[in-house]
Amino acid sequence: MEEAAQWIGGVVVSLIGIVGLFLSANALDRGIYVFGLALALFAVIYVFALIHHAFDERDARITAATSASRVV
Amino acid sequence: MDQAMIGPPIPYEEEVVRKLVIACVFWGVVAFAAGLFIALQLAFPVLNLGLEWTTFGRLRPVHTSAAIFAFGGNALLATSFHVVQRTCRTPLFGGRALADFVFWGYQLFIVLAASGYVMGITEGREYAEPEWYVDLWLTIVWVAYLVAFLGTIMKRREPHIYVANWFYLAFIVTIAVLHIGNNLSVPVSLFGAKSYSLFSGVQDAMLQWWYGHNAVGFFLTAGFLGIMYYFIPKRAERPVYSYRLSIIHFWSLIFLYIWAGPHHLHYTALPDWTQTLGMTFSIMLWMPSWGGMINGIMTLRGAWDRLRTDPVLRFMVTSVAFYGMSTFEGPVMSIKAVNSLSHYTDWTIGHVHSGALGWVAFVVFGAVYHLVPVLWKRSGLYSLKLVDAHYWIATIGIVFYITSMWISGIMQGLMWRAYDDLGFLQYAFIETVEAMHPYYVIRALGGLLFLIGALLMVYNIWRTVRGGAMAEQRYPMPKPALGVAE
Repeated sequence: MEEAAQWIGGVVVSLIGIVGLFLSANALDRGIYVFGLALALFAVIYVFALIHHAFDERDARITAATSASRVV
Repeated sequence: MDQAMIGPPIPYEEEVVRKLVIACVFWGVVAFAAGLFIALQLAFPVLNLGLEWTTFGRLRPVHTSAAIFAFGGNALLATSFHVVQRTCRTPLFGGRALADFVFWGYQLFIVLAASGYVMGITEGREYAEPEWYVDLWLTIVWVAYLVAFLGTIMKRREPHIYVANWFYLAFIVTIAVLHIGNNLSVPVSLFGAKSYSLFSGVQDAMLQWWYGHNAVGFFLTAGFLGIMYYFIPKRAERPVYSYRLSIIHFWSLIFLYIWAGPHHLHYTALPDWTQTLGMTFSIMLWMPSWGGMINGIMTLRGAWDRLRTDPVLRFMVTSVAFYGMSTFEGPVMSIKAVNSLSHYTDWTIGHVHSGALGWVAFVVFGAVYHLVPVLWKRSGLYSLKLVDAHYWIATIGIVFYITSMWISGIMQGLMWRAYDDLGFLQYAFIETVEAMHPYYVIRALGGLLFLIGALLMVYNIWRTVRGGAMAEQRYPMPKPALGVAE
């Protein structure tokens, strides 16, 4: 469930980020320009954070499995 | 004994609650500071600084949005995520990914809204100032919030849905409807910030105040009643006074509140029958509101002495007392005859702030002070003496604020309608403005005291989170009662 949420979240936010770039590129005023860039930046940071957490969880699982296998 | 009965530890999603609590406190200081600055601007207009970005007109929505949505909103997100998990005995639906999206998405909404106001990007709709694209972003974040909250309830392990969750869910769903309904607008261009409301004239006004009053009713009342229903029984270690009363007042509150909006439009172009309808429902609304107040205060039955020794509980109970005061004052002000004096005056501001400072902020302070040691696994707060000091400084600040606004508001109303013997208006408008000046200074002093109290809270929380030596604990952290979820 959690993994599905991460993948869905990552894909949706990435699409939002791309929409943001289009908005900024075609912005008629400062408000939309800033909004579009903010969306893009948000998407980049969020997806990187998802990847970071996923690897952290994987490392934690490996560490836990290794510790358990060492128990006599 | 509790864990043996409950089972293995439940992996609650606490990281997002910690972040939301920090965000709540941060934005609270921003909101109070912005409020103090604009209060000083009203007393000393030179503080507009001659710059477009620092004019009162642009900074006022920064204050209102920061207070309601940034401070209040983060408090609701934090407490709702904490309460729904604990009372359902299940971790947050969607896990960390969804929780982080809601958290960071909401902070982005706040930054976009506030930066837009300073740049002059506003729809000019009170408490709904953000333009269409920020509204769309908030809608996306809000749907994610609803999914996380409702999903947690749907996969709960505790069969009964605790009362606090009814209030939170009513808040989330109704705010979504209000937000979408009031912000229906047509952008001039998809690549431009400017938009025009789908409605106009008095119909638009009605829609705005249906939204505006229910932003108070569901954001600032129902949501915070959710906070009250969890944190007061938790802190006092007492059950809620009356389950039956909670059912009755919940359903009557959410039914009646929706109709109260027209009391913002008395003696305007709104049809007379609509004004009367709003007035009548506003007066009826006094009953379910006091039902909530009674339930909150009477939960202390058998534990009144804790008000002496536990300033955190004192914050919570005082907040309910202010809630009772404000929810009596509101219906009184909704009466057309009273409103003919109070409308457009500072009395309205005094009323708003008795609710915002006395009810909303105090219950948040109580909840945050209770939550911080729990979330950071500390045995207690760094200093209960500081909480005590915060309580008294903030309370005096509130008293300065509301009494000065009551006096200035009634004075405004009376001066505006004063006629001389010949039937001419007795006072020029500018004379009424001049008469307000001392009260505006007193109001700013009240706000300064409130801000100082908040800064004490920041220090106390920082020292608690950082850990280290604990100051004197007059009241130990409550231990979980038997059978009650952590």
